[in-house]
Amino acid sequence: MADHPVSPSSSKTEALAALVSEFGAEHLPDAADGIAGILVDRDSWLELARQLRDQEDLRFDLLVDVTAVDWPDRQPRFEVVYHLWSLTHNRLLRVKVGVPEEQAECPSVVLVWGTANWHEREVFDMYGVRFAGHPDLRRILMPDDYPYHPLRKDFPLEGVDNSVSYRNEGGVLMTQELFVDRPAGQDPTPVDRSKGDPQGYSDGAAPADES
Amino acid sequence: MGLEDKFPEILTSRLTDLVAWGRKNSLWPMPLGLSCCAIEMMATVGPKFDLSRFGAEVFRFSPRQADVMIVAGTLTWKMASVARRIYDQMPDPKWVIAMGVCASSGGLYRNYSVVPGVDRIMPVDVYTVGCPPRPDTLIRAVMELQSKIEEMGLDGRSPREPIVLQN
Repeated sequence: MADHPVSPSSSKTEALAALVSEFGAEHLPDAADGIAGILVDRDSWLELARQLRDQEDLRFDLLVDVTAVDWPDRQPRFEVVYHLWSLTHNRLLRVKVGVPEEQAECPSVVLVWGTANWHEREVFDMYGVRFAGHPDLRRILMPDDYPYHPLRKDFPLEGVDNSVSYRNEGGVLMTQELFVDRPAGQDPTPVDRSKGDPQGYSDGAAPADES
Repeated sequence: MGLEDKFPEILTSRLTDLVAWGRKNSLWPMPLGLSCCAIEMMATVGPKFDLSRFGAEVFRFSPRQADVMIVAGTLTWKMASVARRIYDQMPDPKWVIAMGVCASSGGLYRNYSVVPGVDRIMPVDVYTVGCPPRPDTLIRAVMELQSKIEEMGLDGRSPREPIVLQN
């Protein structure tokens, strides 16, 4: 990265350090990609975001992406990750905001960077993190009535055959009897359940044997 | 159709044959091209492979004018209700070819967003191998479907045991 003619310069400036100490955030250890990172408390994140965008010495005017990481064994469980780019100073910054599982909510930065709108919808869709203040927090990739947040680590990799749960819950898909001309006793192609469904993700096709 | 009751058996059995012959040689496919399988499906209709040799080259882009749906590609849960609606709009008798492993079982892309086989939402008549299947395989699927249609009665509701193509 260092040899690139337009490689971003370090974001570890005095202005950033001042802001970090003012808001009680902390610097993250150097990442392999060389992008400076800070860990921010979610209560102060919205105001910090405004400062990052508006302060003359910082001017992080472009929100590159918003994503999240699920750490099943950590507290807080989720990390919402923002990448900011200052076009004025050619600097990159990574911001992480911890979000606990019990109250999976994070302030929305749509009013600061309009780009965040769809990105935050995607994070909500995939991880179930809600963004307080988002103008239109709907699922963006999965169907509106999809019951899970599939990028959580406890969601099975091969997915859940939710045709059954769709039918049970009267969702869009299963509003009518679907398997019209199927001969008696013939089931659709079986899903390998040898490893079982993780807790909370059973689709009802394999009822628990509690006799 | 009720015709079976009005004519002697020898006559209606020939009528059944005639209808089946007509049906199997004038399949009008509804191309549900969802991913790369659709490219092979297009090649199948092209001059080199020429599906018209089997009477199935009249692709209709309205489900109301089609009687066999070729599900060519990966069906997602978000698309599923739309695919089902298209299937419901096709007039009877109708058939479904699941083209490729994605349509048959979710295949390579079986994950949270993909329907693990279109038989979850509609009855399938022929499952096809391949990722994507060569045009030969699709032609074979059409031929297998033709042999199946041959055995159907006038109501088009004869046994619907699916045919699974294997390599």
